[in-house]
Amino acid sequence: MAFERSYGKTRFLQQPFWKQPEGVDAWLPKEKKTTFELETYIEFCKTESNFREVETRNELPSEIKKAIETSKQLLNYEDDWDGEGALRYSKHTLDKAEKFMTDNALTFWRENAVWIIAPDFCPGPNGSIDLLWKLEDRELLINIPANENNLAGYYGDNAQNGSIIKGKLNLTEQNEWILMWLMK
Amino acid sequence: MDSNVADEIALTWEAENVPNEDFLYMRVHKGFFHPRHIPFAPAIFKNNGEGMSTDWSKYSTPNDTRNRVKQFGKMPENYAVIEMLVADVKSIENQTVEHTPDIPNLNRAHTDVFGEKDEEVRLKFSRIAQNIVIKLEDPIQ
Repeated sequence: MAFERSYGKTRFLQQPFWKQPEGVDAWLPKEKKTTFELETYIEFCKTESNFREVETRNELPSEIKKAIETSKQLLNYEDDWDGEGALRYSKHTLDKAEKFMTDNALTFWRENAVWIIAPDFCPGPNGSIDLLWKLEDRELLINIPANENNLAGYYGDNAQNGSIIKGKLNLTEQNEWILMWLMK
Repeated sequence: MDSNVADEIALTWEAENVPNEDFLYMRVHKGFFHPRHIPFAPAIFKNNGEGMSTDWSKYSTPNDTRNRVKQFGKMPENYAVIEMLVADVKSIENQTVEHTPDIPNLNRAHTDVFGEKDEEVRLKFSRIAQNIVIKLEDPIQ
């Protein structure tokens, strides 16, 4: 059963005593198993103080929108723009970077009701685009390649707890886990 | 320059050991100053051929490094110059510093930083290269 479909776009956040059944995009209290029981319980929960309702948003916040808008300046760079043979940045590569950011940012929001911090869209090597986050104690660099066959390389470290992430991303997959690492 | 003089110079510009306490200077094109929250993009740390080109402070000043682009037909005012402590550079994974005098271009200070420049390395370089010794807006000297 699709919990969200029953209640439109309203998303309910998980409560400590609920569990998520396999194959169901919803959370059910342990003792509830049937659709009838679930709907009854939901009606009951709406009146309870431990119930929170979060409206789903599909619109990005202004900070992220601004970062995306600023990134379009990269399209003005021409071949050899640095005097040392640097390649220009294609709209296709920039679109990939923006899609990666927005898709995973929206997924992160829906899962956590928190927006990620906007990255810097930086000129990268060989026509690629770097997404860079520099926070107080964490930094993350994701390189979106110009070549369609290449995976996206990433590296991040957390000075506070010493955690390090490094590897390759398939941009066709969901990668919001990396934003989870950044924002936790 | 007379070829005999150049040959004579080539005989004396031996590669030297670069001490950890010295600095490397590197030009940064204005196009890399685009980001919002950081001084410049990490992509400046890349290999041109085998290594990343820098100038050793023993044989170059920051202004020398900036002005050297003139011989290639480029405009110095399009570049800033950053400095990096050699010890910090060597502390980054798989990076080595080698003095590689550029005889054809008469640059005795030329020094290569060898090693792959992946995302980790570029990010770590951006941390050690915070000192912009010549800003874009500084007058040409």
